[in-house]
Amino acid sequence: MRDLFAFIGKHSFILLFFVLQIVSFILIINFNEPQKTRMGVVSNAFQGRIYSVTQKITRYFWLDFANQRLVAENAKLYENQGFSKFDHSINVSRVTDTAYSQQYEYIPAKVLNNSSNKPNNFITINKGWKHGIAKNMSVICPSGIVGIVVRTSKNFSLIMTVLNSQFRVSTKFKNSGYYGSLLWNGENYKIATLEEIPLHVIINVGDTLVTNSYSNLFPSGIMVGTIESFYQKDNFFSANVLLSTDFKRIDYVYVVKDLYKEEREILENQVQ
Amino acid sequence: MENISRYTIIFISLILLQILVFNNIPAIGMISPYIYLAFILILPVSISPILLLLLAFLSGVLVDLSITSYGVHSFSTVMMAALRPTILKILAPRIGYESNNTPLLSHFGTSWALKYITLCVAIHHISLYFCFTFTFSDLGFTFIRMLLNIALTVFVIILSEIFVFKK
Repeated sequence: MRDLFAFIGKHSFILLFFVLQIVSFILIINFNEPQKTRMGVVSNAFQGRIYSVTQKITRYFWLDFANQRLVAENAKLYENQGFSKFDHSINVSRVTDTAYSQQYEYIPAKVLNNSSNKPNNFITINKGWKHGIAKNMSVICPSGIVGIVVRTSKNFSLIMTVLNSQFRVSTKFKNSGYYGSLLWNGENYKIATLEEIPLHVIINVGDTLVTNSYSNLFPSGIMVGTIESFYQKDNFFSANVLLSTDFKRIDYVYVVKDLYKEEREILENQVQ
Repeated sequence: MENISRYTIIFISLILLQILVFNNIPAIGMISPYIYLAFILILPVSISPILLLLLAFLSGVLVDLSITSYGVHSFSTVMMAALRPTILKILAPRIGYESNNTPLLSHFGTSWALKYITLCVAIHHISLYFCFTFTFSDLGFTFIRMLLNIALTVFVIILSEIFVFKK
């Protein structure tokens, strides 16, 4: 209490000044019509501003939750897509719903670490073998392919992205169906190279490349990129492919679990 | 004691002059001279700042009551009184003030008085016009009226110091 009085004594001038100004201000906004109206408008606007700002901030805090819900929903939707189903039908003419069962499952994951400017680039995601992720699973994102799982721990996985000198994936032209092997030349994170296209294939700039199932990694039909330019190299065409995935801003990815992968691998390994 | 009665008479006469005469002069447009500020300006340099604030508030309230602009004048006058010590410090002569100095034209000269009065009146009128309009829109018109009013008030106060408050 003594300190309070000492404080008031020490700062009496500034305190009195503020008290008088506040009294005057209250008089102004309570007993003068134009000022009163104006103050009402200002305080309403101020309240509105505060309200919208708080709403924006709270919405931002819910964003993570909303994203998680959306990716879970997306994973469900992907599973219901035609290309995720394994065709059980022996007779092609028998087209019933029971003819299809799930072939691909999608595990949503968040990107924790990412690089795109090294010769060999990897992504770390927040899901591991606890969540059912295993080596050699493919990884996609809404705009296209991302890479292959190369290592897993209990809670995390390491993905070798397309931007890696070790990466090879079999792709095909969406319109003509010709296939070629896609690899990355290590220069530009937007451009990959498609090699060994036979000379008789008609290539147009802008042609869409999608994955095919030859490499037993990706579901077929996933977007890879578009042809940016092409040139002749020895007896083949080579093409620069503008990747559809922007590796500088991957946020959420889907790890693709192929339920029939092992069966196919065992079969294919018998003849090698 | 003699001083107190002298200043009381000056205070009452200036407030009455303001309320009865100057508030009723139909000056150019909406501007009118605020002679009552002269009281705050001529108080001795050594006056306690607390007393200065209280006197400023009192005179502001009285003028407000007369023209039903509650709070507008008291706010501006208290603002001016609060900044008066700072302005005096800025304009202090090289040797400083003596304890019995009063900030008058007759004592410190015309150019010093002009600077001192203009600064104080400008602070008062800027605050006054913003309290009146209570908005930052239409600044140009407000600004012109404010400048004219500052000039008019300064002119009236200088005249009063030349002819009335000689000592």
